[in-house]
Amino acid sequence: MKQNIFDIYITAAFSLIIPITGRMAFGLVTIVELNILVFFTFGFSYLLNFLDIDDLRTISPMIFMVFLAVFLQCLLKIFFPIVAFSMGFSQYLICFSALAIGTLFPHSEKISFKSQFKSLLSLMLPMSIILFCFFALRDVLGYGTLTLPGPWGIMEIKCFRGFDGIPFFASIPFTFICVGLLAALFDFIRTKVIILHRSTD
Amino acid sequence: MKNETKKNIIALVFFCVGFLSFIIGIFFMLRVAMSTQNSTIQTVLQESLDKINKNNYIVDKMLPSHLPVFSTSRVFLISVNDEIPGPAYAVVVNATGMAGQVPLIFIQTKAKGLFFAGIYGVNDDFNNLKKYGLSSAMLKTYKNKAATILTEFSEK
Repeated sequence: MKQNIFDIYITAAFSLIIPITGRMAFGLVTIVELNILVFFTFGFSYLLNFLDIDDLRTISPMIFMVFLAVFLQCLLKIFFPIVAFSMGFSQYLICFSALAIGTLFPHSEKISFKSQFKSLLSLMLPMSIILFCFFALRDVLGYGTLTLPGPWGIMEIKCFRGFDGIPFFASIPFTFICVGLLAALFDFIRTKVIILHRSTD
Repeated sequence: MKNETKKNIIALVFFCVGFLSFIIGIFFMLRVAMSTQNSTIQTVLQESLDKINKNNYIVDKMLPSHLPVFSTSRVFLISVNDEIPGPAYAVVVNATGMAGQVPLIFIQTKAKGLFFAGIYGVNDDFNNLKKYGLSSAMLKTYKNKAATILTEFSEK
């Protein structure tokens, strides 16, 4: 992965991890919405490409993403109203993250739909797993629960008896520490891989 | 008129009609979503107040907000038994603490003035602010915000 691609990828993931409340219920909503936004916008862009509508190729996917985000927020308000209310403005960050991922994706007419979809999946799958792990970890350590979104708020599943969590693990400073360590780890692995590639060449 | 031009005009008309109906559809969906969300917020607020042992507080109705779609707070008219008669309000403010967003309930009555009632929609630890990353200074800030919101409503 090139340096700038790596940076955008990390920024897109971290822009969701840090501001959104560190509970699994919010994490699940975020992951689902992010994936829907990315994959549907990819489909829409491909359709524009397929129909040879070149003039609208830059602006249309963006407008489509905004409409899709509003539509998803409506659904969220209908099915999980309290979760939608608690998330507040951080719902719009999902759109930003999806847009950032969109810049990573190579749009080309020469590559088939299947291979383009596969490369997008290879971008989104690790990201979804990282996001899920982060939200679940913060929920378990910070609150001692695993939560799911429900129609009347969030449903809590107690993980350990007598353990109510340590507030620091749910806080944003702890997330910053984790994010920093993770970024350093990714960078370390990337450097080692580059060295290994050069030595084999 | 050429056949090609006719086709283009028909396509444009169809595109405009589709786009317009999509916008109208989203608008109606937003209205439905907002009313569903507001009624749920009201129900959960009543439940929260009951759990905080404020059974004498009955949520009457939600007051219309100036920006209902993007607003991160809701104001409710409540009636309070066993107190000096007068208008009483409950304000649900979406606060951002060190652990992320958590909605708070503030109540204003004639007798007690504006005070923090508890954390909204949480099954336990209503007053355990530390758990949700909220300090007393943050609470004061959001109390001021609730006061500002109520002043805006009283000025209307």
